[in-house]
Amino acid sequence: MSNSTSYPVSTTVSEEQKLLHLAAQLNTRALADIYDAYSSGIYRYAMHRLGDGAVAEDCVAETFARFLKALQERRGPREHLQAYLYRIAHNWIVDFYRNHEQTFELSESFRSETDMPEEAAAKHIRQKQVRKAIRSLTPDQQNVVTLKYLEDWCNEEIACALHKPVGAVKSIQHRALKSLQKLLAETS
Amino acid sequence: MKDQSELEVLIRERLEEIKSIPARDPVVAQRARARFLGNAVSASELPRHKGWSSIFRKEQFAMNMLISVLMIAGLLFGGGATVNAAQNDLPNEPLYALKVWSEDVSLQLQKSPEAKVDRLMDLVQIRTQEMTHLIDAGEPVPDQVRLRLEQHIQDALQTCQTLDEPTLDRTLLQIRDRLQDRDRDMERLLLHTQAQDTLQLLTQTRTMLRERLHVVEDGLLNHEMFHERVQNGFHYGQDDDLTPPVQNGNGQQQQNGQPTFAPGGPNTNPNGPNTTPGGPNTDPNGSNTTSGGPNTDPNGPNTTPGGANTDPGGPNLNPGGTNTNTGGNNNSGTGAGSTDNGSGGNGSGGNRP
Repeated sequence: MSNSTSYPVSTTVSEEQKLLHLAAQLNTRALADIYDAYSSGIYRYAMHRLGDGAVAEDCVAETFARFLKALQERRGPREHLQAYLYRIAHNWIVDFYRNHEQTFELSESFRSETDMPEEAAAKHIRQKQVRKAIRSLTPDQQNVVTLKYLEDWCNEEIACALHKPVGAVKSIQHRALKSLQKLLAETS
Repeated sequence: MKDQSELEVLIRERLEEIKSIPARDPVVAQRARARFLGNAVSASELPRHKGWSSIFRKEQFAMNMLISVLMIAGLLFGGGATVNAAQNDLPNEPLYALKVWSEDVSLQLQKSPEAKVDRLMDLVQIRTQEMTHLIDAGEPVPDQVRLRLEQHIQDALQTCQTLDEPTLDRTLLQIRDRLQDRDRDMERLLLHTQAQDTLQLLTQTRTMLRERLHVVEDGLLNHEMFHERVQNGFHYGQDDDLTPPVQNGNGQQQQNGQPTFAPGGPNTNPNGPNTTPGGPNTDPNGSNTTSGGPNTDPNGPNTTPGGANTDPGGPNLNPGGTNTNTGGNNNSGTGAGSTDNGSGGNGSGGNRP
């Protein structure tokens, strides 16, 4: 895992399985450890995809709520916890955009952090274009682009998260870059 | 190959636009964590409750009349006695779950909001007594006691939202007096505690108590402000310094590998409109367990931060919605009303958990 980010996963496979075993029994300590390990990463992922702190917080809350519910119903993950949580977050974001695209696009606001509001506004528009271009990709492409270029995951980690071979990830990445180039050229 | 790397460089440049993100508001993050852990505590208690109810259900249908009568008699005498006996149990004792369950039931049975607030403040006292007994016995105080205590207070303040003006005044006065009593209890406990873990927990509890006490005292002076603060999860900038640090399981302050944030971090959307219309629950099996009441308008924003807990696992331990928007409209509905039961499809592709 890249050291430029702070994802979690300090755990080895056996430690993760032990943690998941305890979580399956709804052990609150284990659940707290899982939350502490992964919530920041999920928030960052959601922020990259959504660009809105409050909605990203919703995404984190709902991701862990669904995880907890899955555990209660005994259908929680047995391995690859991180990938599992990111998939929930990804699905939530896809659903969110599907249901709120228009209202969210219209209401998306920006805050000028500089003394130059024109520059801030232009930056905000460029950010919206980039996010929109990413959303136009296929779900796998969205994940590969976000995880690789925004979250700085390596191909092996992405392959593990998406349950695909590394070669397939590279291929998705290549197609995603091509599509992004086209989409961004169109918008700008 | 060269094309690929050039393309990658080009795209990376564009993606840099969205790569840097503002720091997460630590107060909101802590509140979200507390809410998740509250739900986790409720979930961990639920299986036992489910066990009891399923036993009764099966027996109700399967037993013959004689056994049913015997069971009713057992419930009336033995069962009642068991529940009664459980009232003195501490968190490390076998009947504690039954005690908690009976408390939850008793709350449901309160006829008026005032009575409910009164009962909730009784429960705050009971939690404090449990802390005292555990400390006296040299036992560690489980975090769930503190979480439940906090939840009782929040539920009480939330319930006050439904009261009319004169009743609100009277009830806030009662809450204030009882919180002051609990504050004194905490002070006494702190003086007699040596264990570092327990000291930490008591300090957190006292800080929380005093914060809520401020909310009540301010509320007595200004009802409108009280309603706003309760709706916004008790969060206003001036109270940030009162918010205790959230501890992880190892007793370390939660940082998640991130740099330490000062309280009152940046507002991610200070003047923006409400961009939190409530995320839909599109998972037909998923329930909305985030805070915020059910959004009755499928397309509208969730304006009921702190409403009903739809988590079947029990009480919502942090019902207050969070307001991350200090200057504009309320972005406080952190949870979505679960009004969409499966009409939203899954994202194409991908293995959906």
